[in-house]
Amino acid sequence: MLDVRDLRVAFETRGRTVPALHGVSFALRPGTVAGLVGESGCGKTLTALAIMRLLPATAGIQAGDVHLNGRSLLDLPEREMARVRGAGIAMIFQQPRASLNPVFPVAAQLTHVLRLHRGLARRAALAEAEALLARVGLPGPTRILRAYPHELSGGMCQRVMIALALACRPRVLVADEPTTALDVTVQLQIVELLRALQQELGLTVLLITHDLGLVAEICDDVHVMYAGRIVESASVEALFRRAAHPYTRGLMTARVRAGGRALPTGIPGRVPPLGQTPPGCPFHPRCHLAGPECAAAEPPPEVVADGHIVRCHRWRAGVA
Amino acid sequence: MFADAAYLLRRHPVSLAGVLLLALIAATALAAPVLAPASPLATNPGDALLPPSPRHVLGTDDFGEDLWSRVLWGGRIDLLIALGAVAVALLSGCALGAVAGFCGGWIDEGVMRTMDVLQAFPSFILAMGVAAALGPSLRNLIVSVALINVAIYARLMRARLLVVKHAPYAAAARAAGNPPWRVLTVHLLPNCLTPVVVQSSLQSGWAILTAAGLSFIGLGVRVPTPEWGVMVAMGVPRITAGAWWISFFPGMCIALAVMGFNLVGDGLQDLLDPQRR
Repeated sequence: MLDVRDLRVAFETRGRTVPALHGVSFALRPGTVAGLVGESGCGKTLTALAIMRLLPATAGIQAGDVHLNGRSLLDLPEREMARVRGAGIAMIFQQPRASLNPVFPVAAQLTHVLRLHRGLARRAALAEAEALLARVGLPGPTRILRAYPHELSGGMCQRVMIALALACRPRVLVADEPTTALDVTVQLQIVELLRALQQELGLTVLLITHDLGLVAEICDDVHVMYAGRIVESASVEALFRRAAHPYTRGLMTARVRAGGRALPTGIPGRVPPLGQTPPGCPFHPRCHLAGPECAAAEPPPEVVADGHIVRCHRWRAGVA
Repeated sequence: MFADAAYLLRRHPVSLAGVLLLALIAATALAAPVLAPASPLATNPGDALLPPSPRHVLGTDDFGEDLWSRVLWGGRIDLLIALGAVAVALLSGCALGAVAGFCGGWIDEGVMRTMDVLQAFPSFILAMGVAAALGPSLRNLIVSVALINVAIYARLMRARLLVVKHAPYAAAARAAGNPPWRVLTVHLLPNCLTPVVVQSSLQSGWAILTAAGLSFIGLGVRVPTPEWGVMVAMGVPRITAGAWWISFFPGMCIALAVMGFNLVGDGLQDLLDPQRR
């Protein structure tokens, strides 16, 4: 479905090239939800933007390939890429209210997309917009159509954003931290909505998050990112049962568990800033398993089990 | 939109006063051929310099022209200059500012440094220079008044665009498959218009003042034309002789029109901000 191969992205600042993604590879299986997890600043959003070819002007794709249904997106002329955005891959963002245009009511924004991509007439677009709002579980769609974004709650805005993303019937949905800005109760509703829509429409979803609880809830596969690399890929069961990478296990212990007696332990240190990635395995300064080989060379991907890949020299030492 | 406007005007009696004032000026200017008792250009030496009286409500000038008729016809010319100059300045200024802000880089530099040059001159001096170079006529008056305002709109537009260009909804619009030019025109421009529209109402008042000023010093429209600035200029030598009315009434018209535009500008600020409704 969506296949990302050895994607390398770098920032160009004042004549200096600072690599940010060091060969990110993963594939989304059709009709599944894949999670992309990691701490802030590890390149999750950058990966999504590179897939959409919406990188900021200072960043560029150096190497790699992105295939959607066997078609390379990086070679497409801009005009055709614009058609892929929205209709092929849709994206929803972190800040739902700010992602809606403040000067237009919901109806105008929805019908604009419907007329742009699906060529519907005004009246048909309005009817379809109403159906979409009902679909994403908004009560009283007629009233919401007339509302401006500032008149809606955060959860309602995110539902409208999801309706907007689904308006062009995309095959792939990239959700960039769709619940981060929302209340816990609303988060749950949005997650359930995403899951329901994904199953109903057979969507393929790339869910970017730092919330492992959310990953456990709705993902089929998980890709763990660290310092611009995928350090571990596995199915969600394998990852939660037998995480192989010390970073993944660190993320697991960093979770707060309701009812647990032990305090979350966390991972010492911080994500290295861009351009100051340590040599060898980028995680070794923070890793309790690190040995001399870890500082010497970057670990190659190793297969732990079928569909479970890890990049760590010493993963065997950690798996008890 | 109209329901909003009606509600707003009821809450802001001052803006309502501005709207009524402008409506009155516009209506009398449009109805000038019906309302005016005489042609604004009909001279009558026998009636020269008559004070206001029932026969000549606002009196007459040196040539015996009826001031009331001239003030009414003058409204047409002054409103035309104000709206024309603002429209020209707004369209060209906004287009320049939007392109500069959106594209950035050397386009931005080129456009904005040109605007710097325009703003480096005191605006009235620049308008004088342009008007003098182009020669006195109504069209040239509009062009020179517009030119001194282009930079204001370009700056306003660019500053606003630099803010909204990085808004998440711009990214969302791109992600939904809009090409950059459509993101600019459909999604970003409507978010930039509030300060521009408010500015243009305030600027319309200034345009009348500048145009009247240029005409006053002889660089705008020429003497027999019923334009308020020219009329004030014609009356000045007569004030010491006691004929105050020749300058006074057109001067009042200028003041009222400027005030009307300013009051409306304040009201527009509230009306166009969706969060303040």
